[in-house]
Amino acid sequence: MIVLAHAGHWAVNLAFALPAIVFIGWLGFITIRDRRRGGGSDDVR
Amino acid sequence: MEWLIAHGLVGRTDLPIPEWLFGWAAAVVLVVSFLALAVLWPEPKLEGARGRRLFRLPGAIVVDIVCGAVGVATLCVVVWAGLTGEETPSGNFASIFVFVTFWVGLAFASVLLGDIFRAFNPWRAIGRAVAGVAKMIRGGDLPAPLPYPEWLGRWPAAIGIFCFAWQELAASDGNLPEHVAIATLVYSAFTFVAMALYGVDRWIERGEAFSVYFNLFSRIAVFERRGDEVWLRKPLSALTRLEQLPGTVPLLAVMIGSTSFDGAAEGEPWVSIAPDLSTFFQDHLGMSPDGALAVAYTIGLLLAVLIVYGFYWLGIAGARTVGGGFSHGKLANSFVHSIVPIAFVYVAAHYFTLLLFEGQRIWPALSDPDGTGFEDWGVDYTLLGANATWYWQVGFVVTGHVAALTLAHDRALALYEDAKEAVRSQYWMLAIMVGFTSLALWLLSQANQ
Repeated sequence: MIVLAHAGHWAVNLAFALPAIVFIGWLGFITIRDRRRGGGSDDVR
Repeated sequence: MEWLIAHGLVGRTDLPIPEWLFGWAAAVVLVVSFLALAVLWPEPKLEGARGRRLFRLPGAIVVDIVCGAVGVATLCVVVWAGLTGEETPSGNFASIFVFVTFWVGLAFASVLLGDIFRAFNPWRAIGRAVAGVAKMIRGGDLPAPLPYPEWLGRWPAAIGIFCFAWQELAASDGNLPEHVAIATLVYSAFTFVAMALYGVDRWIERGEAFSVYFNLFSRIAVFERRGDEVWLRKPLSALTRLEQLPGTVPLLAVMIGSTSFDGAAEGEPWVSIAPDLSTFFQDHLGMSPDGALAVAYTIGLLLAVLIVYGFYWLGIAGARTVGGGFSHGKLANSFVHSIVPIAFVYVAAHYFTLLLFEGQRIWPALSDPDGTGFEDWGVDYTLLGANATWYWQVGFVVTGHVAALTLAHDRALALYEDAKEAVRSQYWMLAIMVGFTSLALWLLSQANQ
Protein backbone atom coordinates (compact mmCIF):
# COMPACT_ATOMS: atom_id res chain seq x y z
CA MET A 1 0.00 0.00 0.00
CA ILE A 2 2.81 2.35 0.94
CA VAL A 3 4.52 1.50 -2.34
CA LEU A 4 1.32 2.32 -4.25
CA ALA A 5 0.74 5.53 -2.29
CA HIS A 6 4.24 6.65 -3.27
CA ALA A 7 3.81 5.61 -6.88
CA GLY A 8 4.09 9.20 -8.10
CA HIS A 9 7.43 9.50 -6.36
CA TRP A 10 8.80 6.29 -7.84
CA ALA A 11 7.39 7.11 -11.27
CA VAL A 12 9.39 10.35 -11.35
CA ASN A 13 12.55 8.48 -10.33
CA LEU A 14 11.82 5.85 -12.98
CA ALA A 15 11.37 8.58 -15.59
CA PHE A 16 15.06 9.47 -15.16
CA ALA A 17 16.10 5.89 -15.87
CA LEU A 18 13.75 5.37 -18.81
CA PRO A 19 16.16 6.41 -21.63
CA ALA A 20 18.84 4.04 -20.31
CA ILE A 21 16.34 1.20 -19.79
CA VAL A 22 14.88 1.59 -23.29
CA PHE A 23 18.32 1.81 -24.88
CA ILE A 24 19.82 -1.17 -23.05
CA GLY A 25 16.63 -3.16 -23.67
CA TRP A 26 16.89 -2.46 -27.39
CA LEU A 27 20.59 -3.40 -27.45
CA GLY A 28 19.86 -6.61 -25.55
CA PHE A 29 17.13 -7.44 -28.06
CA ILE A 30 19.31 -6.95 -31.15
CA THR A 31 22.20 -8.82 -29.50
CA ILE A 32 20.01 -11.86 -28.82
CA ARG A 33 18.51 -11.63 -32.31
CA ASP A 34 21.99 -11.54 -33.89
CA ARG A 35 23.13 -14.48 -31.78
CA ARG A 36 20.17 -16.54 -32.96
CA ARG A 37 21.08 -15.68 -36.53
CA GLY A 38 24.62 -16.96 -35.84
CA GLY A 39 26.39 -13.58 -35.60
CA GLY A 40 28.90 -12.46 -32.96
CA SER A 41 32.28 -13.90 -32.13
CA ASP A 42 33.81 -15.65 -29.16
CA ASP A 43 37.39 -15.72 -30.43
CA VAL A 44 39.58 -14.01 -27.89
CA ARG A 45 42.67 -11.97 -28.72
CA MET B 1 26.24 17.91 9.61
CA GLU B 2 26.46 21.55 8.58
CA TRP B 3 29.06 20.46 6.03
CA LEU B 4 26.86 17.76 4.56
CA ILE B 5 24.01 20.20 4.07
CA ALA B 6 26.39 22.59 2.37
CA HIS B 7 26.95 20.03 -0.41
CA GLY B 8 23.39 20.46 -1.56
CA LEU B 9 22.99 24.16 -1.02
CA VAL B 10 21.20 24.86 -4.27
CA GLY B 11 17.63 25.33 -3.09
CA ARG B 12 14.44 24.21 -4.78
CA THR B 13 14.38 24.90 -8.48
CA ASP B 14 11.45 26.41 -10.36
CA LEU B 15 12.11 25.08 -13.86
CA PRO B 16 9.91 25.45 -16.96
CA ILE B 17 9.98 21.65 -17.54
CA PRO B 18 10.36 18.73 -15.10
CA GLU B 19 13.92 17.73 -14.20
CA TRP B 20 13.51 14.23 -15.66
CA LEU B 21 12.75 15.79 -19.05
CA PHE B 22 16.24 17.30 -18.97
CA GLY B 23 17.47 13.71 -18.64
CA TRP B 24 15.57 12.71 -21.78
CA ALA B 25 16.87 15.75 -23.65
CA ALA B 26 20.42 14.91 -22.56
CA ALA B 27 19.95 11.34 -23.87
CA VAL B 28 18.80 12.77 -27.22
CA VAL B 29 21.90 15.01 -27.34
CA LEU B 30 24.09 11.95 -26.79
CA VAL B 31 22.36 9.94 -29.51
CA VAL B 32 22.68 12.85 -31.97
CA SER B 33 26.37 13.25 -31.00
CA PHE B 34 26.86 9.54 -31.58
CA LEU B 35 25.37 9.76 -35.07
CA ALA B 36 27.42 12.84 -35.86
CA LEU B 37 30.61 11.08 -34.75
CA ALA B 38 29.78 8.01 -36.87
CA VAL B 39 29.35 10.18 -39.97
CA LEU B 40 31.84 13.01 -39.47
CA TRP B 41 34.70 11.33 -37.55
CA PRO B 42 35.81 8.43 -39.80
CA GLU B 43 39.35 7.99 -38.47
CA PRO B 44 41.18 8.45 -35.15
CA LYS B 45 42.07 12.08 -34.47
CA LEU B 46 43.01 12.02 -30.79
CA GLU B 47 45.09 8.83 -30.74
CA GLY B 48 48.73 9.73 -31.16
CA ALA B 49 48.11 13.51 -31.31
CA ARG B 50 51.35 15.17 -30.19
CA GLY B 51 50.58 18.86 -29.79
CA ARG B 52 53.02 21.71 -30.23
CA ARG B 53 55.58 23.48 -28.07
CA LEU B 54 54.34 26.80 -26.68
CA PHE B 55 57.32 28.20 -24.77
CA ARG B 56 60.27 27.29 -22.61
CA LEU B 57 59.57 27.75 -18.89
CA PRO B 58 62.23 30.15 -17.61
CA GLY B 59 63.84 28.96 -14.36
CA ALA B 60 61.97 25.64 -14.31
CA ILE B 61 64.01 24.34 -11.34
CA VAL B 62 63.28 27.49 -9.33
CA VAL B 63 59.56 27.16 -10.17
CA ASP B 64 59.65 23.54 -8.96
CA ILE B 65 61.38 24.47 -5.72
CA VAL B 66 59.03 27.40 -4.99
CA CYS B 67 55.87 25.41 -5.81
CA GLY B 68 57.11 22.43 -3.77
CA ALA B 69 57.84 24.74 -0.82
CA VAL B 70 54.33 26.22 -1.05
CA GLY B 71 52.91 22.67 -1.05
CA VAL B 72 54.95 21.63 2.00
CA ALA B 73 54.02 24.82 3.87
CA THR B 74 50.33 24.22 3.12
CA LEU B 75 50.62 20.63 4.37
CA CYS B 76 52.17 21.89 7.61
CA VAL B 77 49.45 24.52 8.10
CA VAL B 78 46.72 21.88 7.52
CA VAL B 79 48.22 19.65 10.22
CA TRP B 80 48.90 22.49 12.67
CA ALA B 81 45.47 24.15 12.21
CA GLY B 82 43.70 20.79 12.41
CA LEU B 83 45.41 19.71 15.62
CA THR B 84 45.36 23.02 17.49
CA GLY B 85 42.60 25.16 16.02
CA GLU B 86 38.85 25.72 16.01
CA GLU B 87 36.88 22.45 16.07
CA THR B 88 34.13 23.56 13.67
CA PRO B 89 34.95 22.35 10.13
CA SER B 90 33.67 25.55 8.52
CA GLY B 91 35.90 27.65 10.80
CA ASN B 92 39.19 25.84 10.34
CA PHE B 93 41.63 26.04 7.44
CA ALA B 94 42.30 22.27 7.55
CA SER B 95 38.76 21.13 6.69
CA ILE B 96 38.03 23.98 4.29
CA PHE B 97 41.26 23.55 2.38
CA VAL B 98 41.22 19.75 2.17
CA PHE B 99 37.55 19.22 1.25
CA VAL B 100 36.90 22.33 -0.84
CA THR B 101 40.02 24.02 -2.22
CA PHE B 102 42.12 20.89 -2.63
CA TRP B 103 39.59 18.16 -3.45
CA VAL B 104 37.25 20.21 -5.66
CA GLY B 105 39.18 23.35 -6.60
CA LEU B 106 42.25 21.47 -7.76
CA ALA B 107 40.09 19.17 -9.92
CA PHE B 108 38.81 22.24 -11.83
CA ALA B 109 42.32 23.74 -11.95
CA SER B 110 43.75 20.48 -13.34
CA VAL B 111 41.21 20.42 -16.16
CA LEU B 112 41.89 24.06 -17.01
CA LEU B 113 45.66 24.28 -16.54
CA GLY B 114 47.05 20.73 -16.62
CA ASP B 115 48.89 18.73 -13.98
CA ILE B 116 49.67 21.57 -11.57
CA PHE B 117 49.41 19.34 -8.50
CA ARG B 118 52.62 17.61 -9.59
CA ALA B 119 54.51 20.87 -8.96
CA PHE B 120 52.81 21.57 -5.62
CA ASN B 121 52.72 17.97 -4.36
CA PRO B 122 54.26 18.21 -0.85
CA TRP B 123 55.07 14.49 -0.60
CA ARG B 124 56.93 14.55 -3.92
CA ALA B 125 58.78 17.73 -2.90
CA ILE B 126 59.86 16.23 0.44
CA GLY B 127 60.78 12.90 -1.18
CA ARG B 128 62.96 14.58 -3.80
CA ALA B 129 64.57 16.90 -1.24
CA VAL B 130 65.39 14.00 1.11
CA ALA B 131 66.78 11.95 -1.78
CA GLY B 132 68.94 14.91 -2.85
CA VAL B 133 70.34 15.43 0.65
CA ALA B 134 70.96 11.67 1.07
CA LYS B 135 72.89 11.63 -2.20
CA MET B 136 75.05 14.54 -1.04
CA ILE B 137 75.80 12.88 2.30
CA ARG B 138 76.54 9.55 0.67
CA GLY B 139 78.59 11.17 -2.06
CA GLY B 140 77.03 9.07 -4.82
CA ASP B 141 73.90 7.41 -6.11
CA LEU B 142 71.42 5.86 -3.69
CA PRO B 143 70.60 2.13 -3.86
CA ALA B 144 68.06 1.39 -6.60
CA PRO B 145 64.46 1.20 -5.32
CA LEU B 146 62.50 -2.05 -5.43
CA PRO B 147 60.82 -2.78 -8.77
CA TYR B 148 57.19 -1.65 -8.63
CA PRO B 149 55.04 -4.81 -9.00
CA GLU B 150 53.13 -4.75 -12.30
CA TRP B 151 50.05 -6.30 -10.72
CA LEU B 152 49.83 -3.39 -8.27
CA GLY B 153 49.16 -0.90 -11.08
CA ARG B 154 46.86 1.88 -9.86
CA TRP B 155 45.36 -0.22 -7.05
CA PRO B 156 47.02 1.83 -4.25
CA ALA B 157 45.49 4.98 -5.77
CA ALA B 158 42.06 3.34 -5.97
CA ILE B 159 42.27 2.31 -2.31
CA GLY B 160 43.61 5.73 -1.29
CA ILE B 161 40.77 7.61 -3.00
CA PHE B 162 38.26 5.21 -1.47
CA CYS B 163 39.70 5.89 2.01
CA PHE B 164 39.50 9.65 1.41
CA ALA B 165 35.87 9.36 0.24
CA TRP B 166 35.12 7.13 3.24
CA GLN B 167 36.51 9.74 5.64
CA GLU B 168 34.47 12.49 3.96
CA LEU B 169 31.20 10.61 3.51
CA ALA B 170 30.99 7.69 5.92
CA ALA B 171 33.31 8.10 8.90
CA SER B 172 31.86 9.49 12.08
CA ASP B 173 32.92 13.16 12.24
CA GLY B 174 35.45 12.53 9.45
CA ASN B 175 35.38 16.19 8.48
CA LEU B 176 36.43 17.46 11.93
CA PRO B 177 39.71 19.39 11.60
CA GLU B 178 41.49 17.19 14.14
CA HIS B 179 40.52 14.03 12.24
CA VAL B 180 41.59 15.64 8.96
CA ALA B 181 45.01 16.46 10.46
CA ILE B 182 45.49 12.94 11.84
CA ALA B 183 44.48 11.36 8.51
CA THR B 184 46.94 13.70 6.75
CA LEU B 185 49.77 12.60 9.05
CA VAL B 186 48.97 8.90 8.63
CA TYR B 187 48.73 9.24 4.84
CA SER B 188 51.99 11.24 4.72
CA ALA B 189 53.84 8.58 6.73
CA PHE B 190 52.50 5.83 4.47
CA THR B 191 53.49 7.79 1.35
CA PHE B 192 57.06 8.39 2.62
CA VAL B 193 57.54 4.66 3.30
CA ALA B 194 56.14 3.73 -0.13
CA MET B 195 58.37 6.31 -1.87
CA ALA B 196 61.42 4.98 0.00
CA LEU B 197 60.60 1.45 -1.17
CA TYR B 198 59.59 2.03 -4.79
CA GLY B 199 61.19 5.37 -5.61
CA VAL B 200 59.68 8.86 -5.54
CA ASP B 201 58.75 9.16 -9.21
CA ARG B 202 57.33 5.66 -9.63
CA TRP B 203 55.14 5.91 -6.51
CA ILE B 204 53.92 9.40 -7.43
CA GLU B 205 53.08 8.22 -10.93
CA ARG B 206 51.14 5.07 -9.97
CA GLY B 207 50.52 4.72 -6.25
CA GLU B 208 50.07 8.16 -4.66
CA ALA B 209 46.31 8.56 -4.71
CA PHE B 210 46.02 12.31 -5.25
CA SER B 211 48.77 12.50 -7.86
CA VAL B 212 47.03 9.80 -9.89
CA TYR B 213 43.60 11.38 -9.32
CA PHE B 214 44.56 14.90 -10.44
CA ASN B 215 46.77 13.59 -13.23
CA LEU B 216 43.77 11.81 -14.75
CA PHE B 217 41.79 15.07 -14.79
CA SER B 218 44.76 17.04 -16.10
CA ARG B 219 44.77 14.84 -19.22
CA ILE B 220 41.58 16.63 -20.29
CA ALA B 221 43.50 19.93 -20.36
CA VAL B 222 45.14 21.53 -23.39
CA PHE B 223 48.33 22.42 -21.49
CA GLU B 224 51.13 20.02 -20.70
CA ARG B 225 54.55 20.45 -19.18
CA ARG B 226 57.32 18.39 -20.74
CA GLY B 227 60.59 18.90 -18.91
CA ASP B 228 61.17 22.64 -18.91
CA GLU B 229 58.78 23.30 -21.80
CA VAL B 230 55.06 24.03 -21.91
CA TRP B 231 53.12 22.37 -24.72
CA LEU B 232 49.69 22.90 -26.24
CA ARG B 233 47.75 19.78 -27.18
CA LYS B 234 44.25 18.82 -28.32
CA PRO B 235 41.81 18.66 -25.41
CA LEU B 236 41.33 15.06 -24.19
CA SER B 237 44.19 13.78 -26.35
CA ALA B 238 46.46 13.00 -23.38
CA LEU B 239 43.86 10.52 -22.13
CA THR B 240 44.55 8.34 -25.16
CA ARG B 241 48.13 7.99 -23.87
CA LEU B 242 46.95 6.69 -20.49
CA GLU B 243 48.94 3.56 -19.68
CA GLN B 244 46.66 0.54 -19.32
CA LEU B 245 47.43 -0.70 -15.81
CA PRO B 246 45.65 -2.97 -13.32
CA GLY B 247 43.40 -1.09 -10.92
CA THR B 248 42.43 1.68 -13.35
CA VAL B 249 38.83 0.53 -13.81
CA PRO B 250 38.34 0.16 -10.01
CA LEU B 251 39.89 3.62 -9.54
CA LEU B 252 37.38 5.20 -11.95
CA ALA B 253 34.56 3.23 -10.30
CA VAL B 254 35.63 4.64 -6.92
CA MET B 255 35.81 8.17 -8.33
CA ILE B 256 32.34 8.06 -9.91
CA GLY B 257 30.77 5.82 -7.25
CA SER B 258 31.84 7.99 -4.32
CA THR B 259 30.43 11.16 -5.90
CA SER B 260 27.26 9.25 -6.79
CA PHE B 261 26.87 8.09 -3.22
CA ASP B 262 27.35 11.61 -1.92
CA GLY B 263 24.47 12.70 -4.15
CA ALA B 264 22.31 9.68 -3.36
CA ALA B 265 22.86 10.14 0.37
CA GLU B 266 20.94 13.42 0.15
CA GLY B 267 18.00 11.78 -1.65
CA GLU B 268 14.82 10.24 -0.36
CA PRO B 269 15.62 6.53 -1.05
CA TRP B 270 18.83 6.52 1.01
CA VAL B 271 17.47 8.83 3.69
CA SER B 272 14.66 6.32 4.28
CA ILE B 273 16.96 3.25 4.25
CA ALA B 274 19.96 4.50 6.29
CA PRO B 275 18.21 4.83 9.70
CA ASP B 276 16.77 1.29 9.42
CA LEU B 277 20.17 -0.08 8.50
CA SER B 278 21.76 1.79 11.38
CA THR B 279 19.12 0.55 13.84
CA PHE B 280 19.74 -3.02 12.64
CA PHE B 281 23.46 -2.77 13.48
CA GLN B 282 22.69 -1.23 16.87
CA ASP B 283 20.11 -3.89 17.77
CA HIS B 284 21.88 -6.96 16.43
CA LEU B 285 25.56 -6.11 16.81
CA GLY B 286 25.35 -3.83 19.85
CA MET B 287 27.05 -0.97 18.05
CA SER B 288 26.96 2.65 19.15
CA PRO B 289 24.64 4.96 17.13
CA ASP B 290 27.63 6.75 15.55
CA GLY B 291 29.41 3.49 14.73
CA ALA B 292 26.26 1.91 13.31
CA LEU B 293 25.61 4.94 11.09
CA ALA B 294 29.22 4.86 9.85
CA VAL B 295 28.85 1.16 8.97
CA ALA B 296 25.58 1.86 7.15
CA TYR B 297 27.21 4.67 5.14
CA THR B 298 30.25 2.48 4.42
CA ILE B 299 27.94 -0.17 2.96
CA GLY B 300 26.18 2.51 0.90
CA LEU B 301 29.50 3.83 -0.40
CA LEU B 302 30.73 0.34 -1.31
CA LEU B 303 27.44 -0.44 -3.04
CA ALA B 304 27.62 2.74 -5.12
CA VAL B 305 31.16 1.87 -6.25
CA LEU B 306 30.14 -1.70 -7.10
CA ILE B 307 27.09 -0.52 -9.07
CA VAL B 308 29.24 1.82 -11.18
CA TYR B 309 31.84 -0.94 -11.65
CA GLY B 310 29.13 -3.43 -12.65
CA PHE B 311 27.50 -0.98 -15.04
CA TYR B 312 30.80 -0.38 -16.84
CA TRP B 313 31.38 -4.12 -17.16
CA LEU B 314 27.85 -4.57 -18.50
CA GLY B 315 28.71 -2.12 -21.30
CA ILE B 316 32.02 -3.90 -21.97
CA ALA B 317 30.30 -7.31 -22.06
CA GLY B 318 27.84 -5.85 -24.56
CA ALA B 319 30.60 -4.30 -26.70
CA ARG B 320 32.34 -7.69 -26.82
CA THR B 321 29.28 -9.31 -28.44
CA VAL B 322 29.73 -7.26 -31.62
CA GLY B 323 32.92 -9.16 -32.51
CA GLY B 324 36.53 -8.17 -32.95
CA GLY B 325 37.68 -11.05 -30.77
CA PHE B 326 38.86 -8.97 -27.81
CA SER B 327 38.79 -10.27 -24.24
CA HIS B 328 36.72 -8.53 -21.58
CA GLY B 329 39.89 -7.30 -19.88
CA LYS B 330 41.36 -5.91 -23.09
CA LEU B 331 38.17 -4.01 -23.91
CA ALA B 332 37.70 -2.75 -20.33
CA ASN B 333 41.25 -1.36 -20.22
CA SER B 334 41.05 0.03 -23.75
CA PHE B 335 37.98 2.15 -23.05
CA VAL B 336 38.53 3.11 -19.41
CA HIS B 337 40.18 6.42 -20.38
CA SER B 338 36.87 7.49 -21.92
CA ILE B 339 35.11 7.63 -18.56
CA VAL B 340 37.61 10.09 -17.03
CA PRO B 341 35.58 13.10 -18.32
CA ILE B 342 32.50 11.51 -16.73
CA ALA B 343 34.31 11.26 -13.40
CA PHE B 344 35.21 14.93 -13.69
CA VAL B 345 31.73 16.16 -14.56
CA TYR B 346 30.28 14.16 -11.68
CA VAL B 347 32.63 16.12 -9.40
CA ALA B 348 32.00 19.40 -11.23
CA ALA B 349 28.21 19.14 -11.24
CA HIS B 350 27.89 17.85 -7.71
CA TYR B 351 30.46 20.04 -5.94
CA PHE B 352 30.19 23.15 -8.10
CA THR B 353 28.14 25.01 -5.51
CA LEU B 354 30.34 23.74 -2.67
CA LEU B 355 33.35 25.36 -4.35
CA LEU B 356 31.45 28.52 -5.23
CA PHE B 357 29.93 29.07 -1.79
CA GLU B 358 31.98 27.25 0.85
CA GLY B 359 35.15 28.03 -1.11
CA GLN B 360 34.69 31.67 -0.08
CA ARG B 361 35.71 30.69 3.44
CA ILE B 362 39.27 29.96 2.33
CA TRP B 363 40.09 33.70 2.26
CA PRO B 364 39.30 34.45 5.92
CA ALA B 365 40.73 31.00 6.80
CA LEU B 366 44.04 31.97 5.19
CA SER B 367 44.41 34.95 7.48
CA ASP B 368 43.24 32.97 10.52
CA PRO B 369 44.13 29.31 9.77
CA ASP B 370 43.34 27.83 13.19
CA GLY B 371 40.12 29.85 13.47
CA THR B 372 40.93 31.38 16.87
CA GLY B 373 39.06 34.54 15.86
CA PHE B 374 36.30 32.53 14.19
CA GLU B 375 32.76 33.70 14.72
CA ASP B 376 30.93 33.24 11.48
CA TRP B 377 32.78 33.84 8.27
CA GLY B 378 30.12 35.17 5.97
CA VAL B 379 29.30 33.40 2.72
CA ASP B 380 27.50 35.12 -0.15
CA TYR B 381 24.89 32.58 -1.26
CA THR B 382 23.43 34.95 -3.85
CA LEU B 383 26.24 34.37 -6.37
CA LEU B 384 24.19 31.79 -8.24
CA GLY B 385 20.47 31.02 -8.11
CA ALA B 386 18.89 27.57 -7.97
CA ASN B 387 17.80 27.50 -11.62
CA ALA B 388 21.14 28.78 -12.89
CA THR B 389 22.88 26.12 -10.82
CA TRP B 390 20.73 23.40 -12.40
CA TYR B 391 21.51 24.64 -15.93
CA TRP B 392 25.23 24.68 -15.14
CA GLN B 393 24.97 21.16 -13.74
CA VAL B 394 23.13 19.87 -16.82
CA GLY B 395 25.71 21.60 -19.02
CA PHE B 396 28.59 19.93 -17.18
CA VAL B 397 26.95 16.51 -17.35
CA VAL B 398 26.09 16.66 -21.06
CA THR B 399 29.48 18.11 -22.10
CA GLY B 400 31.38 15.49 -20.12
CA HIS B 401 29.40 12.62 -21.59
CA VAL B 402 29.78 13.88 -25.16
CA ALA B 403 33.54 14.12 -24.48
CA ALA B 404 33.49 10.54 -23.20
CA LEU B 405 31.60 9.38 -26.27
CA THR B 406 34.16 11.11 -28.52
CA LEU B 407 37.08 9.43 -26.76
CA ALA B 408 35.44 6.00 -26.96
CA HIS B 409 34.62 6.49 -30.65
CA ASP B 410 38.19 7.56 -31.41
CA ARG B 411 39.59 4.52 -29.57
CA ALA B 412 37.16 2.13 -31.31
CA LEU B 413 38.32 3.36 -34.72
CA ALA B 414 41.92 2.63 -33.72
CA LEU B 415 41.11 -0.73 -32.10
CA TYR B 416 38.77 -2.44 -34.56
CA GLU B 417 39.93 -3.42 -38.02
CA ASP B 418 36.40 -3.15 -39.36
CA ALA B 419 34.87 0.37 -39.16
CA LYS B 420 31.37 -1.14 -39.00
CA GLU B 421 32.34 -3.22 -35.96
CA ALA B 422 33.89 -0.12 -34.38
CA VAL B 423 30.62 1.81 -34.67
CA ARG B 424 28.54 -1.16 -33.48
CA SER B 425 30.76 -1.60 -30.42
CA GLN B 426 29.95 2.00 -29.59
CA TYR B 427 26.22 1.27 -29.28
CA TRP B 428 27.14 -0.22 -25.92
CA MET B 429 29.40 2.65 -24.92
CA LEU B 430 26.51 4.96 -25.82
CA ALA B 431 24.29 2.91 -23.52
CA ILE B 432 26.83 3.40 -20.71
CA MET B 433 26.95 7.14 -21.35
CA VAL B 434 23.15 7.42 -21.41
CA GLY B 435 23.01 5.44 -18.15
CA PHE B 436 25.63 7.61 -16.44
CA THR B 437 23.89 10.77 -17.69
CA SER B 438 20.54 9.63 -16.31
CA LEU B 439 22.17 8.68 -13.01
CA ALA B 440 23.97 12.02 -12.73
CA LEU B 441 20.83 14.08 -13.35
CA TRP B 442 18.75 11.92 -11.01
CA LEU B 443 21.36 12.37 -8.25
CA LEU B 444 21.45 16.12 -8.79
CA SER B 445 17.66 16.31 -8.74
CA GLN B 446 17.70 14.44 -5.41
CA ALA B 447 20.14 16.96 -3.96
CA ASN B 448 17.94 19.83 -5.15
CA GLN B 449 14.87 18.61 -3.26
